[in-house]
Amino acid sequence: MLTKGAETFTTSVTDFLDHDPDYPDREARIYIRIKVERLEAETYAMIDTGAPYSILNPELAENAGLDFSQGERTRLSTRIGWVSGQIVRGTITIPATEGSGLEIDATIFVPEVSWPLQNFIGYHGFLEGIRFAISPTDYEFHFGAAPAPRQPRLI
Amino acid sequence: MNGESATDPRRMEARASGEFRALSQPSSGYPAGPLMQFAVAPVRGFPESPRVGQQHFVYIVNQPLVSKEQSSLQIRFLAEEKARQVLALGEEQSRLGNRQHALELVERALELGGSAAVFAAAIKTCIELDRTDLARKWAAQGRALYPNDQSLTRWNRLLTPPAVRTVEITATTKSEEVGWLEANAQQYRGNWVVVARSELLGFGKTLTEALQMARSRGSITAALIHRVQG
Repeated sequence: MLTKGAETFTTSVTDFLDHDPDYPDREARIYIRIKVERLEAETYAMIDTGAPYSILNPELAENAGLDFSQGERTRLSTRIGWVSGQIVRGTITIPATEGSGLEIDATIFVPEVSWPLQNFIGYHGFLEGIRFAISPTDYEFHFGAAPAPRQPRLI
Repeated sequence: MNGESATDPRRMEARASGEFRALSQPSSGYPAGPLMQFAVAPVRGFPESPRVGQQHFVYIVNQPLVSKEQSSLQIRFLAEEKARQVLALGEEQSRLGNRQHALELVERALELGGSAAVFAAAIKTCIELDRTDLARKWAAQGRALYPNDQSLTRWNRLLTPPAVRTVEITATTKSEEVGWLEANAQQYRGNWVVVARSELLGFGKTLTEALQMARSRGSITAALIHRVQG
């Protein structure tokens, strides 16, 4: 639990990986565990502050029971080029090893085609709603709900 | 042509500039009413557009308008058609990577004729351009103007900032599962795997197969799902 002056900054902790677990030699990234909608088991997702939206593997999204009937089709520019898919709304939970987990009603992009990359946690519709910090030496990801913005954000 | 004056000054001007062609039928979707005739000329003001010569302003050459209501409908139709054309230019500029110009065209399109469909298309273009702030702005404005439009209602919901709440879901570290992946993933390239502690519960080419196998062996609540890259 981190504080900022007298104010609580984060409320919870989980561990993170600094590499893809099945490609240990690849470049360093931050992976945390998440639960998606109704799927009981956890999976890893990469924190990507440069990604405008969170992106989930379509098979994962389907098995988790995300509601595509309320989605809208669009396309996003990704690392593998332009990808068509649906923007949907769904629940992503960050389970905590210390403190409480966080349940985020998130905006999620689900590609229409096979997605060869990892799951991504992006800025809009997810990271903009939480506070987070990392402690690289002990692989701790500190997080908590962000307070409502005090003034209009300039993004 | 249906009483159209050959000396109509607008037509003469268009002819003189070599930019004239006439349509004998109104475009599809045009409000029902007396046959209208148009002279069309290239859009001005977008000289850098790769589609100059294909986009057109539409001028009414003779206009047997029958009522104020129909006149309003026709004007709305023309404005929306023009807005769609400008929006199409914006989408092209977005694909070409001319972000600022694309955004200018989106704003121009909404000024010209902000129907619900034009708002929805503008929102999509803003998302493609990573301008969620503008997408949210247009979604809110469009929803206020067209509260019964389903697409704008959905966009508003989809683009709402995330709602966050605390839940009593705790987890243990997954060091055993990660250890299993690091040691064994090579054998399961291109597969989904479901691992609990250091045991493989299920695997398959599809996640559905892997989950079925894992669930047949019991609860997967504490398990880790992973797609091993091919």
